[in-house]
Amino acid sequence: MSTPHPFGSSSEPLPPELEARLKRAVEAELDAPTRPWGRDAALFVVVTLVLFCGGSFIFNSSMSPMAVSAPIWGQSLGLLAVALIAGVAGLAPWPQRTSRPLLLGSLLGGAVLVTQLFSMELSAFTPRVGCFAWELVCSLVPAGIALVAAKQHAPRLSRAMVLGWAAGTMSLAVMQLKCPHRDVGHVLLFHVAPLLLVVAATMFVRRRLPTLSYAP
Amino acid sequence: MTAFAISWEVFGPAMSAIPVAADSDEGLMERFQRGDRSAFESLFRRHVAPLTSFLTRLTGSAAAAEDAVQLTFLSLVRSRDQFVRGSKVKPWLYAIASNAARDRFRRTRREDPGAEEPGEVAIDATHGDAGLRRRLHAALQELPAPQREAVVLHRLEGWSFGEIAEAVGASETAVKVRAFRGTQVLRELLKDVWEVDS
Repeated sequence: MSTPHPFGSSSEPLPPELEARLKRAVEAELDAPTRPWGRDAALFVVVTLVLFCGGSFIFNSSMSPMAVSAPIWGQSLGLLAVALIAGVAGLAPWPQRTSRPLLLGSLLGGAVLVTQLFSMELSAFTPRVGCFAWELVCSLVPAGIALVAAKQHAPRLSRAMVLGWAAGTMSLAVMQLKCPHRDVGHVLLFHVAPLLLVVAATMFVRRRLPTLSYAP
Repeated sequence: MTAFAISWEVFGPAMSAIPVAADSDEGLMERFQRGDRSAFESLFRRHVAPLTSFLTRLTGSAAAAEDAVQLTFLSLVRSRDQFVRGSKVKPWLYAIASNAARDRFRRTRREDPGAEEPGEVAIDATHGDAGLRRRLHAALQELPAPQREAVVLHRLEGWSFGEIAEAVGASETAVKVRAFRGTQVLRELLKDVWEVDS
């Protein structure tokens, strides 16, 4: 490090009473158990996988997952992978040189997959509010888990955005398998819009949640 | 090998295998992670004064700095398991401090939109030119927070741009630009005394 600026040095001692006060405030925390990020990330992964499997197979309504074509399965599994990578990288305390490529990759990969959803028929618009509602409902639990875990990190909007993206893409992955409607208007309004809404809501809520630790 | 251990092997820097000096920040942090409270004491004693000074410059308020120092060490304790072995403690600690100061300012502004954050800074007149330093504090508060952070860390704390980039989570180029622009504004505001720097 270079020589400090002559305007001031940071080596001046702190008044003893202030130092003691600060130390007392922190000491109570020393015995409290820490919350490992790996546990939060593992919970996020498990819940995401359970919701994906449950959403795809158990809550089957009009469309059997077995009847879904291979490309649709590919897109859906791709979105699931994006959700898992974004979720784990968003919760991990890894150095930026590790986490940034993963975060950017998951955002870009997810964006590419979402644009692939538009390779569908330009047929008549199918208004189905149920798709919108189910997609929001599916993303509630992973978004909630991610938000609670994010309180252990500094409140960065980029992190909240990635976690919202993770929850939203998981939900979109499920709906990809369930929804038979492929017209652009329907996909945009009832599938992509909820994804963006989840991202925005996650960012909004994170800003208002208390922060337990300001670690990056 | 557990999934946790695998992630450690894959994503922990290769340096984690290199032994660190026991009394270095990194050595103390390793000991603290293993449950040695005396290591925390040493870290606290080593960094509390420089952090308070840094945060006073960053926030422009002694009270805000005291709050932020407290939040910084609370975060260090709560997130000790998140510290990645092989990385540097100081940039991590100062990143926590910057985050705490920024969030405290944002929350204060939300609760009272009309509040003027920078307050009067109590400066010990026995240390250096108190008037000059008061002017510097006032001038620093004129800068946007990212520029102030870059200027304080680079010009006052003597950090390299690479270290600041790592600490604040921005690119080195972005940090250089912030420091340059911030310095230009400071130079303008303190032009009658700026030659001290040259």
